[in-house]
Amino acid sequence: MIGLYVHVPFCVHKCIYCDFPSYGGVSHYIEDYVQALCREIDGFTGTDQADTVYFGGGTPSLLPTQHIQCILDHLRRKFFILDNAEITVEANPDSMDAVYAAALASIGVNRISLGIQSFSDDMLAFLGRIHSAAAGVKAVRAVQDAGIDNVSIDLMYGLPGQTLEMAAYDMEMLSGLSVTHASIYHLIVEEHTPLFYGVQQKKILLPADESNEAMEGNIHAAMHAMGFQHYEISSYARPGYVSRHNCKYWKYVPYIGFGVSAHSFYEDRRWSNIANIPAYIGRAGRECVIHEVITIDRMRAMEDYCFLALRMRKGIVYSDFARRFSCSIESEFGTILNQLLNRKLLENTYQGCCMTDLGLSYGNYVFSQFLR
Amino acid sequence: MATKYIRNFSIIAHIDHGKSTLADRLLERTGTVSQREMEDQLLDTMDLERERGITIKAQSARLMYTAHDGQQYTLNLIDTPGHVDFNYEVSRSLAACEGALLIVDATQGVEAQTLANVYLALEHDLEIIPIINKIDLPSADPERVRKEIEDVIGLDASEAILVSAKTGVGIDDVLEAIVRRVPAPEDAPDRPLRALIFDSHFDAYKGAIANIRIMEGSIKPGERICMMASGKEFEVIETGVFLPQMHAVPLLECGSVGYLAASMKNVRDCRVGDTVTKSSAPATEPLAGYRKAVPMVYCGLYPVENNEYDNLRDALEKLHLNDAALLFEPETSTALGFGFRCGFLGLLHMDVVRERLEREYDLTLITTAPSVIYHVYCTDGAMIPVDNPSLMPDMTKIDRIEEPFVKTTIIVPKDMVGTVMEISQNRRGQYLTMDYLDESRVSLIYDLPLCEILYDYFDTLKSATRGYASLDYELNGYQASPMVKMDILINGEIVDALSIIVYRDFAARRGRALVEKLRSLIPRQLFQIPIQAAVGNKIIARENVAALRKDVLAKCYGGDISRKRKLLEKQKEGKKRMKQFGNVEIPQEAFMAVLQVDDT
Repeated sequence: MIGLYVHVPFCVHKCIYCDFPSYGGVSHYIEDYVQALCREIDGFTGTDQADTVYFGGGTPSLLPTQHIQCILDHLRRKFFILDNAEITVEANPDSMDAVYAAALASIGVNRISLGIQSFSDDMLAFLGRIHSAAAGVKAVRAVQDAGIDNVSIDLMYGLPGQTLEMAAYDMEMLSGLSVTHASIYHLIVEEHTPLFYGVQQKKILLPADESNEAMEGNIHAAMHAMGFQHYEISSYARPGYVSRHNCKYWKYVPYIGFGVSAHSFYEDRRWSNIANIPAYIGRAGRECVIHEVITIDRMRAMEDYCFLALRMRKGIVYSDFARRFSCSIESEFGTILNQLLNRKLLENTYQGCCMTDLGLSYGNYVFSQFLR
Repeated sequence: MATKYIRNFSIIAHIDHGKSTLADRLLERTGTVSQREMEDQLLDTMDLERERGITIKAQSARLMYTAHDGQQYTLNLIDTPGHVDFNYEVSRSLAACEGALLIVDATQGVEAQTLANVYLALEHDLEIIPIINKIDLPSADPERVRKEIEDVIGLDASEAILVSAKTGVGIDDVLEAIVRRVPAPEDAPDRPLRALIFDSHFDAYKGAIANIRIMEGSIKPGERICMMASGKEFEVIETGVFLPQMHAVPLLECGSVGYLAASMKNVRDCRVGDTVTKSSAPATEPLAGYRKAVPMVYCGLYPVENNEYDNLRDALEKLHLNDAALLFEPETSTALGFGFRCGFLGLLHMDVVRERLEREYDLTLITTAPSVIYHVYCTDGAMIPVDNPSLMPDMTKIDRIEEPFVKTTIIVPKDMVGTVMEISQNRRGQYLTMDYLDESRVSLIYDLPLCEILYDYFDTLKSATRGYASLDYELNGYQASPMVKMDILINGEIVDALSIIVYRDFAARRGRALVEKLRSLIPRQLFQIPIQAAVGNKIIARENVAALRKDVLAKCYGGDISRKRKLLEKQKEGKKRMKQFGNVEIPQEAFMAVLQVDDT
C-alpha cells in the first residue's frame, strides 16, 4: 500500500527559518501549476493501491478547493485510493476558515495539519509568520466545526527569546484545543536562510542548550500527561491518530511524490523532482521532471531501513527486517546493536529493539552508527 | 697525483648565511656542474632539505680548478650538515679536511652556530678562511662584521674575502685562497691504510657506501678491508669520487676524498667516524675521535590505523639502512596499540624522520611527546635508563633521577639579555657566563636541562627575541633533579601515551595547562569526560569535556531521506582520525598536546 504526496510550493510570505521549496509572490503560477500537477499524475506509469494522500508545502491551503479536488480526481483515476484513506492537507491558520474547511471536508479531506508554530504573537512575528496566536486557535476550531476531527498542529520550540513559561503556555493552549496530533520540533538554523545570517552576525541569539533541553523535557511531560503518545521523534498522537502518511517514510513503505521538489521512494529507487516552478510547468506530462535518481543497493537499503525505523519509538522489528532482506539483522548489524544496547542507547523490545530516552537525545549519533 | 695538488675543505656557517649558495657557485665556476644542470642548492638532494633550507646529509664534490699559477688542483668540498642535531657528523667532516671556509653574513654577523662550528674547526687544527657573504645587500656592513670576527672569534680577518654568493662576486678569490691558504694533505702513501669514514649512505644497487678521506696509504677494488671499531671485514667492490654524483676510479690515493662500496648490507657496517684499514696490513691505531651516534631524544611512533603496523616497520627499516643514528624498537601502548619507540639525535632529526615516513611511505602516524633519557637510580642501587615515561619505575623504588643537561650558547642583541635570562631561569637554566661580542651583542651561556629545550625553550626564545636570538647547545652530562612522572587520566583511566616526566615544581602548572589543552582537543562525547593530571595518586588538575549537546527534535519533511542520510554521513566522517580509548575517542593531536601548551 503506497502513499501519495503532492507538493504545493506557494506561500504568501517566506518565513525566516524556511529553506524549503516554497516561494512567496508567485501565486500567478497557481493555475498553471495545478494543471501541470495533473499532467504529471496522468503520465505516471503504475496503478498501485494507496491509502494516504498528503498535500504538503509551502501552503496547500492557498489553493482553492476546486484545485485540490481536481488533483484528487486525477490521483483517483491513476491509483486505487482506498475509501478509508487518510487525506491530509497542510494549512496556514490565516488561510483556514469555516467555509474553506467545510469545502475541504466535502471533497473527502479528512485530516488537516495546521502550521500554528507558536501561541505567542511575539514569536510568530519573529518567525515571519503572517498569522496571530488568536488566528491559530480560530483555525483549529473552524476545522473541527466543519466536521474534520483529525487535526494536527505544528509547534516549534527553542526560538530566540522564548522562555520556559512561553513554551508551557503553548502546551496549555494545545490542551484546550482537543487536537489529535502534534508535530513538535526545535527551530533548526538552516544555511542560506535569513535566520542563519542573523545568528551568524549575532543579531539573533538562540536560547542556551540547557534552556532548550528543559523546554523539550517539559513539552514531553506535558504531552504525556495529556494522553499523547510519542510515536516518532518529533510527533505525538492520541491513540488511533498517528499520521499514517508520515509513518510510511519511517517504515520503508513506498511513496510517490508529485510537484516541484517532491520526493519519491519506489522499489529500489529514490528520486526527486526539479525545483524550478516554470520549468516544471513547461515539462510536466511532456518530458521528464525528475532531478535526481538514486538507486538503493542492498547494503544501503538495510542501513536506511534501520535508522529510519529507529525514528519510531517502536523501533526495529527483527522479523520484518528478516522478511524484507532475507537475512537476520544480527548477521548484518550484530556488533553495532550490541554496542548500542550496552551503552544504553538502545533497549530490547519483545520483537526487536528501540531507542532509549538517552538514545533519543543522541539520535543522530545512533543513526550514524548504522552507516558503514 | 701528488698530494701537493690536493686541497680538502669544508664550509661552515650559521644557518641561512649562504653555505649552500656558495657551494653552488664553486661547483659552477670550476665547471664541475654545467649551468644547464645547475639547480639551486645542488648538494641538498632531499626535497626536505631544499624546502627547509637546511642540509641534513653531508655531501661531497670534487672540483678541478686551474689556479693562477697554471697548475691544476683537485679541490674536495665536503658539505656539512647545518644543525646542532648533527654536530658529530660535522666534526667528522671537519676531521677529513685541512681547511674550512667560514661564512659570515655581512648583514648579521657572528651567530651562535658560527661560533660552535669555528670551535669545532679549531679543534681539528683547520686553516680557517673567513668569508663575508651577502655584500650585495643594502644593509651589508662588512667592516663591522670583519671587526666582529676578529674580536669575537679571534681570527685574523684582514684577509677576509668579500663575497656575494648570489651574484658571484669574489668567487675567484675564494678559489685562489683555498689553493694558497689551505695546506695540502700529508703525503704518506706507504703507511698502512687509514681512511676516515665521514659519512655514509645506502645505495639500492651497491649497498652501504662509505664516504671516506684517505689519511694514509691508498685503496683499490679487490682489497680486503677492516672497520677498526666494529672489526667487520669486507672486500672492496668499487672505489670512486664525487662529481658530485658517484664516479668510479681505479684507485683512491693518499689525501684524496671519495667513496668505497664493499657489499655492506647497511650503514651500520660503516659507521661515521670509524677507520678503514686493510686486513692484510692493518694500521696499529685507528684515527682518533670515533664515537657511536647516541640518540638524545625518544618518542613513540604509532600508526593511526593498526593494520599499518607492518608498513611502518618496513618503512623504519628502510630509513634505518641510511641512517645509523635512528634507533627503533617495538613497543606497545594500551592507548595506541602496537608501535615503535624511536631514538633520534635531536628534535630536527625526529621531525625529519617523521615527515619522511609520512611523505615517502604514505603513513599516517601518531607521535607521542618527545622525551630525553633519564637515569633512574633505584633504591637497590641499579640504574635504569628511562626513555618512555610510562616505563618509569614506581616512585617508592626510586632513590634519585638524573637528567641530561646541555651547555647552551645564546647570542642576542644586548637589550634582550634580560628577556633571555628570564626565559632561561624560568626553565631551570643555570647561568654560566656572559660576554659582550661587541657594543651591541652579547653571548650568554647557560646550563639547561635538555627536556626544557625540547619542551618550549627554543620557540619561546625565538618569539620573545623576535627571531634575533641564535642558539647552540652541546651535551653537558647528567645532574640529579626532582623529577616526577605525571599521568593523564581520561574518564578515570590512565592513558599511558600521555604520561610525561616533569620537574616537580612545574608539575601543577604544566598539569593544569595540559588538561586545559586536552579539554579543547577532545571532542564532546555522549557523556561528560573528566580529564585529570595526577602525580602518583594525587590529582593535581582537572577539567571536564562537557557531554555532547543533545540532538534537537528535527522534523523530516516530505520524505527527503537522502538529505537526512547525507547529514549522518557527514557526522560520521568527522570521526575517522580518532583513536578509540575505552568509551572515549581521542584525536591524534592530543598526543602532541604536551608540546603545545602555554603555561607561562
